[in-house]
Amino acid sequence: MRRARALFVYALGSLARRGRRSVALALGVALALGLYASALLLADALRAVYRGTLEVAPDLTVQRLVAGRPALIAADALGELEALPGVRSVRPRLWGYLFVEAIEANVVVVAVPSDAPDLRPALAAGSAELRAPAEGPAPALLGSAIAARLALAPGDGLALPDATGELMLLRVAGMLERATASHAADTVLVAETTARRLLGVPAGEVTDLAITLAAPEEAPVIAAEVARRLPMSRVIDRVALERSYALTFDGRAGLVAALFLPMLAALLLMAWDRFSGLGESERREIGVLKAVGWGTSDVLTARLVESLAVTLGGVLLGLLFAYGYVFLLGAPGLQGALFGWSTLSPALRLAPSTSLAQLATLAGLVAGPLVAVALVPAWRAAMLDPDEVLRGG
Amino acid sequence: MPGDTGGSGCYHGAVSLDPAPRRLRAFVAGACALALLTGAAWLHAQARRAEARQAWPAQRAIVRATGLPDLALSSTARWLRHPTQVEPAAAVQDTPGGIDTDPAGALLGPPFGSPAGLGPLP
Repeated sequence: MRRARALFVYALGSLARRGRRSVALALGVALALGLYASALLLADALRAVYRGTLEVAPDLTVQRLVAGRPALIAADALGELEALPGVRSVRPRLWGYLFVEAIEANVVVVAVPSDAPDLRPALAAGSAELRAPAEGPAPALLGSAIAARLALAPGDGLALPDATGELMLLRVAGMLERATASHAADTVLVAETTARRLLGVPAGEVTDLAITLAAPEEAPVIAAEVARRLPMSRVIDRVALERSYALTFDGRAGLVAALFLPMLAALLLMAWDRFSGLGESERREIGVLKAVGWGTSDVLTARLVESLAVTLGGVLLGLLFAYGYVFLLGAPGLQGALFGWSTLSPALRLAPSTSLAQLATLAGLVAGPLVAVALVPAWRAAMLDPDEVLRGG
Repeated sequence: MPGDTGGSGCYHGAVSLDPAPRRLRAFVAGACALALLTGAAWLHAQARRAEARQAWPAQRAIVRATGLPDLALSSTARWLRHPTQVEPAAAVQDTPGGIDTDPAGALLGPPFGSPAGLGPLP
């Protein structure tokens, strides 16, 4: 025990003698690893938000393609699809974009049918009743970013330009929870008749069809059958939805992380230089230790403790920095690179979803080489004859 | 051998001059500070996860009602607002020769605002 303590204290003393270099190295490790880990933490947190709602998305979405672009689809295609075995329900969807010049932003207008699933869990204030009254403005539910941007509250009026450019007056029936901002910050939910007027969609046509299956694993078979029956259609299954996001976020996060790679490489190079190039004084120090009776293993143990203290301290500091930067500060700067720019940005409160195994792997990939490069030159010096080292041989 | 100094003063000699306890204390204090920060981050992470779980019913309700699982990240670019729903070539419709098919992933976005009467931004 005394021996271990003495080795430990010697290693700390050695660190203290090279205090500034040790601190600079630990901070370098912390910064390089921290930036790299920030991209990882942020991308994983966003993936978790997306995956959390994917299971309630439709199993299949059917669009009609004309000239290679999505076009409106006749609602009567619905009957043919409903008759397919394995199809539980087919829901016509009416949605689209509306450019609102006043806020220089696109808002998403979505028609909510009267038989749609209950919206109340998503409601922050007001009512979820969207049926248009016989007279007066039609009701609308607003996403949190629009409501905040226009400082609207339930009961207020909102004028949106319709497809012909005429202003259509709506009444704010309610506002969506801030928790839904990730999906609907820029969304206006209205009744079908209101959506048709705002988007200019004629009666009998819809944007697309959402299909729910009795057994989701049959999706590829039913998608092929839908494509056969509706030749000009494009069928998107849930796997394609997930793949789109995996490609987007993996691509963006990979690009951002790749930007930090040169920094990480430079740091490793600097650490290599710091640890591997034993100076004359360090060689003499090892020679003295050997001369007073230290064994090779003692020298290596002291060196190991020294390098472990610096690298593990730096790694832990870096991971803490990444956590604080992403989840306390909201990753200013990095969020723009990863999420994209937007006029109606959702206020996201992301939760960490990166596994400890991933973080440990990242830490190991940085700390492992640093510790290894510290041991090899120390081992070489420790193998030399102390007399030769002390005489400067 | 280290530790076998037999009171020679190298490691545990004169009490007032021995730097070992001071170094150890500083090291232990630093390690404790890091451990405390790690613990605080872990507790914060648990709280954030609990908060995220509480948000699920609202998020799922909106996706069930609209059927649109896309995230509202790039609301200014129509073809990036619902990347799972747009046509396959949409990402390059404005810049067919562009090598970046995902130009929303930029540190600096384009300037906002469109000349009056010219309609929406691309």
